[in-house]
Amino acid sequence: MKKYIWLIAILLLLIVAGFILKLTYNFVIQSRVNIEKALALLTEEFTPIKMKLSLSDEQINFQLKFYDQQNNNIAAYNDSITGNRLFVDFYIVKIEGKNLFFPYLVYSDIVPPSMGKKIYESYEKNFDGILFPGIYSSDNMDDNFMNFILQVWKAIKSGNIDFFSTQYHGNAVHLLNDIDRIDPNSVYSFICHTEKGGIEIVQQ
Amino acid sequence: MFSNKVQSLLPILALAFIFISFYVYFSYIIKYHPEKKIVKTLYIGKNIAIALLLLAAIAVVYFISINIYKTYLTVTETINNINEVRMLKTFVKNLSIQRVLASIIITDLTESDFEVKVSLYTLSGEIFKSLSFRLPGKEFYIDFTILNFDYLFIEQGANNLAIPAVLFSDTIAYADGFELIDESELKNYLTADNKYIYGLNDKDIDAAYNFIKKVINDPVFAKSKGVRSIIGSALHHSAHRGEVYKVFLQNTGGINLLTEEF
Repeated sequence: MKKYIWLIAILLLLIVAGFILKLTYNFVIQSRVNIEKALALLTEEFTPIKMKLSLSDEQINFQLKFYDQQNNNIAAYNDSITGNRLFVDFYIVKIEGKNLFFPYLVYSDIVPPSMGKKIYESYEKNFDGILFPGIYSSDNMDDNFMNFILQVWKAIKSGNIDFFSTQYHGNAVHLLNDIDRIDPNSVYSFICHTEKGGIEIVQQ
Repeated sequence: MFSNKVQSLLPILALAFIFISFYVYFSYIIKYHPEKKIVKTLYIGKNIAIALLLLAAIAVVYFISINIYKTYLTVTETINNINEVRMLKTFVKNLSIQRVLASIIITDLTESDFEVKVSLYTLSGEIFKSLSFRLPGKEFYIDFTILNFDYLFIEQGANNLAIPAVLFSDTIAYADGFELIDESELKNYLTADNKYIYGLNDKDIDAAYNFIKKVINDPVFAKSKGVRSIIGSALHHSAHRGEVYKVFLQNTGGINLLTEEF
């Protein structure tokens, strides 16, 4: 019986070693991202969000629709907030001259950012347990691009973006008109400029 | 103003034409008086014909004057529009250099608040004014009003405009923030160093300033004048003591914030 215990122990050790090897392999493969190749797939400008606003009971009702890189609607977020102007806040990271945009929060002129509503969970796509920001998905994305975006996304969410890039900031864009002067049928597109890092809101 | 003068001259011109016509008419009557033995019927018929002709002449002259005046107004308006567009293009083009709008330095930082020094820059990169604020929270937000001009302007070397608006923090709402430039300072800010703006005199700058004010307050007017979008853009970053952040105006696509690296 004793000789079988040794055999079982060796078998268990081999299984554990296999798991460790697999995890290391995944880590190595994921960290070997070709950043230049991934950045080359980014478009010069894209529209990750479109917005409609209306007023009821002194609240801003907002409808946000999220779009991927091929302009397909992938998610929506509808809610309301107290105030007169809606701020849509983007997290922007600059890597090797290109900017990545991640809308993550909404608040208003009278609601401070710390009390804003998180919106990023709406456009996260579950790929085998991994949450990928759907606004960067497209039919022609490869594993390299996906891993690159995932690494940046994880770094942002864990607050460790410093390790990835020193050039990052937020940009909360808003319309200048108060909500009572906005046509509830108007659709506003948020255009993100990958090269320049700016965001525009253009009425359709 | 000039068109008003022309407008007031019109009745005088019309009266002058009428008096001249009467003069010509009565001269004719005197010249062909019956005592000069002209047949009376012919005389009456001829005079009626002359009178009708004179009236027709007056009508034609009046019609021509009105149309000349209308043409003048149209031409003047067209010239004004061309000048306005040229002037705006010059104004916007002169802002086309990618430039620093503001710098932000965190001078003090505690667990609950931080002190920030904000410097706003003019076109030539000189400091327009510097302000210090103490804000609760951990992150500063600096808001700008941005005028994104149409691609037609951008293609011709134009740039967007950005005007500093409000400073707030992660725990202070925008409405409770600090105004960076008030109404009275706006013109000074836009024209602080107009000597650097080639081709614009004081009158042009006044017109440009009024244009910008109207564009901000009237979206319909803005769209009609080639302004693609007018938005607020609040750039923000977590506060780190001693860190210097700079806000840049890009030639297209708005503004962004960069941490100064040493």
